[in-house]
Amino acid sequence: MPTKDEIFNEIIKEKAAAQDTIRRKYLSELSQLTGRDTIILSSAFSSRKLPNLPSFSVSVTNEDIHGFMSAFNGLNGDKLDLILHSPGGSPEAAKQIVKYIRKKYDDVRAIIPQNAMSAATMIACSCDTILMGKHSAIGPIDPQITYPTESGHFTAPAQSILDEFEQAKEEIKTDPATAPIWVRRIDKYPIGFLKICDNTIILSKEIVANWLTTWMLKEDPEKEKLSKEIADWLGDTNEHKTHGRPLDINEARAKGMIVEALEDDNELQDKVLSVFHAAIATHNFSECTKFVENHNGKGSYTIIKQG
Amino acid sequence: MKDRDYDRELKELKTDIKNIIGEGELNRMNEIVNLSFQLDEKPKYEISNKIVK
Repeated sequence: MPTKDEIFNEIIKEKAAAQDTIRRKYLSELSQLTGRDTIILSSAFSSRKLPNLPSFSVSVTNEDIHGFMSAFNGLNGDKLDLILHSPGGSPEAAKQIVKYIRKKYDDVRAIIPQNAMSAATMIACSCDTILMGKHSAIGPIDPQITYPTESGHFTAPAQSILDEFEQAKEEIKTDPATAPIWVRRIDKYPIGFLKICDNTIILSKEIVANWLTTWMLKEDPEKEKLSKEIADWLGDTNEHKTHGRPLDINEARAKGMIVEALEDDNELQDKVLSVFHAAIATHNFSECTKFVENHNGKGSYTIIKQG
Repeated sequence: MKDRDYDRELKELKTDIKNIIGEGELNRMNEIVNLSFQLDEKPKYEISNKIVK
């Protein structure tokens, strides 16, 4: 297997958009090895460019549905490998993406070379199995709410917003002198906002429990109970403390998720990691912040030019 | 179980804060914060989407 540096050097040697050619070569080789249709959803969220990128340009959004439409173009197989490298994003977008994927494929395997967090974890939960490396991670699915503030868009866990509201009520009631501290925070919440937070938390868990019951745990005699337990665990803000907390293969397996180890098949691991390194190189060498692409090189690419 | 009425609770809390701080002081605080945000440098970027069919 070429190392990450070797892949980067290969791209530098080829020059002129070589990252696309080389990434597509490895994606095609992976599909040839598995005999499965293969699609990658990759984000620059782990790239060194991140501090300057708007969060919506790297997260799962409704626009990705168009990406999947482009990537599905010309695919005729009945089994799909879905490579996920994403910080997550909109649970509603994840739901639509899964609906779209499941209309076409009965057998879907998620491959997580490094991180599939939040809404990307939700998507992984809609697959029949997950393939993870020892150092790969899924993450909590407690929803994050993005809302506009004077200094730009701000994202916070829905549960934290509700907890903060309770704290404000309590503190102002017991000590009115704290009101000036809370005024700016509470004032920016529009009507309907707290209900959205509450509903989104319920929705994320319901969606994931339903997907697990329908696909990953469909053979389990206690599938409904187990699915609910897993969804509650993934959605528990208080247990995980932070939304970005990595949950590894052992934790996922211990909760009952069906996860295969990438290291169990050396050849497969080599091909997956080559695709992954080439995807990271794409984000590092170009202005592409997110893409959805199939093994035939078709897909959709988000590009950001910073001024 | 009846759904919790968050909108009513939020409205009540905003009214309580307004009564404690006073409308004049509240407006003054908002003006100061808004002015400080206007001085912030905003990032500039151009987003495009490329489709390969």
